[in-house]
Amino acid sequence: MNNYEYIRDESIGEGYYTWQHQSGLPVYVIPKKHSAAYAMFGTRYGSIDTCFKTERDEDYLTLPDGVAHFLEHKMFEDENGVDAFTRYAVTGASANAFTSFDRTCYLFSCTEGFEQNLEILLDFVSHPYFSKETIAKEQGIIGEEIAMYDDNPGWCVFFNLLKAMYHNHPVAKSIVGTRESIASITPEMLYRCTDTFYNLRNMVLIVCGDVTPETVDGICDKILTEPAPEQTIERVIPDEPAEIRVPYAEDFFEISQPMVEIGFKDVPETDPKARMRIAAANAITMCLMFGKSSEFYNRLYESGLISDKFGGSYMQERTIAFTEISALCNDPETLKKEVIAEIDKRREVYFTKEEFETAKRVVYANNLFNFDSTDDIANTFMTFWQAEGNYLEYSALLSEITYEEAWEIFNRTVRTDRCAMSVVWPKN
Amino acid sequence: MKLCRTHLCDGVSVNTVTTDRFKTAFLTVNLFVPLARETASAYSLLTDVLMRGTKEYPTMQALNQKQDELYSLGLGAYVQKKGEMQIVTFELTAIDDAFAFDGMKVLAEGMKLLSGLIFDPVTEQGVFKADYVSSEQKNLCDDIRGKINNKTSYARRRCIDIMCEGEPYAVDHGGDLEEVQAITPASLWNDYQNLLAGSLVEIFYVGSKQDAEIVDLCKTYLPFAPRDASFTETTIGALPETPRTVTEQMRIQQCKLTIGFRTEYALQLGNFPAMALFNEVFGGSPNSKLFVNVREKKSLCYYCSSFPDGLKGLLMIVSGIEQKNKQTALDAIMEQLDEIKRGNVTDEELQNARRSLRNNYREITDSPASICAWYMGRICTGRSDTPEDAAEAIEAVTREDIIRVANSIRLDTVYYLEGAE
Repeated sequence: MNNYEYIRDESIGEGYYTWQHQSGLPVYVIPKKHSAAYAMFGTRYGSIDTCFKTERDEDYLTLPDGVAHFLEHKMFEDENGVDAFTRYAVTGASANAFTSFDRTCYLFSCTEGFEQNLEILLDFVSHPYFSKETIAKEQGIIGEEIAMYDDNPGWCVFFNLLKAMYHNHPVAKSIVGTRESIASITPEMLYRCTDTFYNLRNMVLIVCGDVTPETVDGICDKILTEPAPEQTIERVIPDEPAEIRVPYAEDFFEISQPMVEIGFKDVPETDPKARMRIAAANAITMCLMFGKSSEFYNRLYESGLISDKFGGSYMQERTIAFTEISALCNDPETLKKEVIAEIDKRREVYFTKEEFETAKRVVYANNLFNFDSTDDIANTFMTFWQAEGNYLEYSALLSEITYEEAWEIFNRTVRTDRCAMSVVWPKN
Repeated sequence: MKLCRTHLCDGVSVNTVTTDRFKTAFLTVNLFVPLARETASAYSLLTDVLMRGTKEYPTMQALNQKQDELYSLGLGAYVQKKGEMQIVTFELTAIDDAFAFDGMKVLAEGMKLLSGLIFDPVTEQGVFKADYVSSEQKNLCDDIRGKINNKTSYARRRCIDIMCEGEPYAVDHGGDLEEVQAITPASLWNDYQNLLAGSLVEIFYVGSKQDAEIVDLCKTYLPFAPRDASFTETTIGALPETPRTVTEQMRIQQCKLTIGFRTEYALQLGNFPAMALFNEVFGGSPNSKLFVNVREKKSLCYYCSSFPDGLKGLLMIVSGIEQKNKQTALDAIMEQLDEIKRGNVTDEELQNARRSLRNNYREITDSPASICAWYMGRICTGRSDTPEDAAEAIEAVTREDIIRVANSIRLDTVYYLEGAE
């Protein structure tokens, strides 16, 4: 019998249950009186996990680009050639999956038959089946997915920025890989990935909807009958210099106007709590500096340099951290100079205390808006889980952050001497 | 999730859905006009110019700062297209008053701001401020040129333009380059006055407040005068005699295949449930014939799906393929349509499609924006059925009905956007 821990944030009126299932899987249930229930079964395994071993393995395995994503596609098919979509079809659930830098997630939402759907989800993700034939079939489909991204200038401008900032880190490699890299994928390779990363102790189940923890726990008991072996995964991320690799990257597409991304590389903190604090503080600063009510945005908008296609954000994950400014802009060099001048100015003279308090209110409200969607709740929950944090502590954390602390964090983490720019120009 | 509809005066109505499901209040003011080349660009530009400021908050920064104070109040103005109608929409998203930690009446304050946005713009010599107009003209022209940036949506739009050339449906609700450039502050002011006085007004609210309170707020902050206005009927175009194939080129890797059909199924004709179920079986989900056969069995593409337009009676199919597979992919898609024509649809396929649609309809009630969009689509075709009603209507659709759909739709245009040397 499990004890479900219940955690609640009274101020926003939300709570969740959590426990570790006897199989080793951590489970979170966030009750929400919506028509649809949303479930996400995710693993801490994404495109950056390209070199790894466990204590069971003698040698590190180094993967070609795009394996985590390829595996996600192949997970849907079982040894009888039955697709998980076909199994879901009986219940009408809408199902999907995605792979990003640090995670692979399988999900469904449904308005009926929740228990049956959860059985399907837990069952197919914990029963991998790969063969040469099914791999070959998928190469055509993913080849077209790669071609689709190759025609996407927004995707290109972002990855070129990562390539400019990072020397060795696999974050700069394409999540979907290339036609050549996926051609070398073998069943053995995929099995080693599932043995390592699809261990339930490296995974999480997040459910959001009108569902009880007892229901979810019961289904876990039924499907996840074997306790997952204890293991330690060693993930090798090559040493990454603090400095950027090159200051500039460009490409050409048939588009109407240059797309620009400017990045300021930072060194991630090792302590997860510190990372979360930095991310929260910089969310406030980015709102103050580059938000729609900022002096900077309005001045540049009125001068015609930028349009409403402009934004600034900061991200801090386990192995990467950077500030990212994106815009459609005909004069990228001037924009870069303006952005750097603004950051340097705000180091000396931050914002007023009133402006700071208003920005905190904005970040608080934007966080609250997230709680109307089971899908947003579960996905943000996953992000916090990956970061070893707690989503429901976020609004308390925001209110704790002081003016002085935010200024200090900004000065320390947004470094204009580590600036790279990526531009995609119109071809003609 | 029942809709409560109140008639404020001639041509002006308020529609409210009261629910405690959300932490937000969502309100839109929708001005319906016929989609027409003469006015579409002006109304599109108008939404951008109005967002530049109000008499009380005359700059974008002042307006945005006020929104920040109101707990990051979301405020937007944009144009939409429904069939052959253009809709000028003003949208407000606020946190529910219960979550304002200083007791602020966020919705009422927000509606006051919205009122200024709609009725009290910044003026100069009795018309819109010239530099606001010129700078938004430049931005809008950039947006219009930017339609080529997304190759998938560009290909789909080109196909519809070609199919519906000469019909109002082909008018771009976002605006046309030359038309936008010809607008002056005075001409825009004139169009704005006509819009305020003559459009059909539908206000929607989804949130925790009761209908009576919303009606009172609307009377206070949204004082639209009575008008003689009605919804424009969308014409179902004639079926083509011979289909055409059009190929255009761009410097791209992947060939975009878009196929347009004409149908005689539409919401306003009352026969849409049959099209909805047909589409679900044909190309509407990962269990559809197109996904299972063209993608999974033949590995020809990453995506291949179909979408009906509920008002215009079009059915569009989109896919991204290798250039050398142009004919193979087209044949594979048409072969799946033939399968349905011949009645090769299993009971299981039908049941699965019904369940999937039912799920989609029910999920609508989980998002304020979806609820609003749902009822807007119903009301402008003279209906008021709930998503649950629509799910029930699907139960009554038979295999014979969808075979009839498959046999009646007519291929109009096959459009390829392919790589150039």
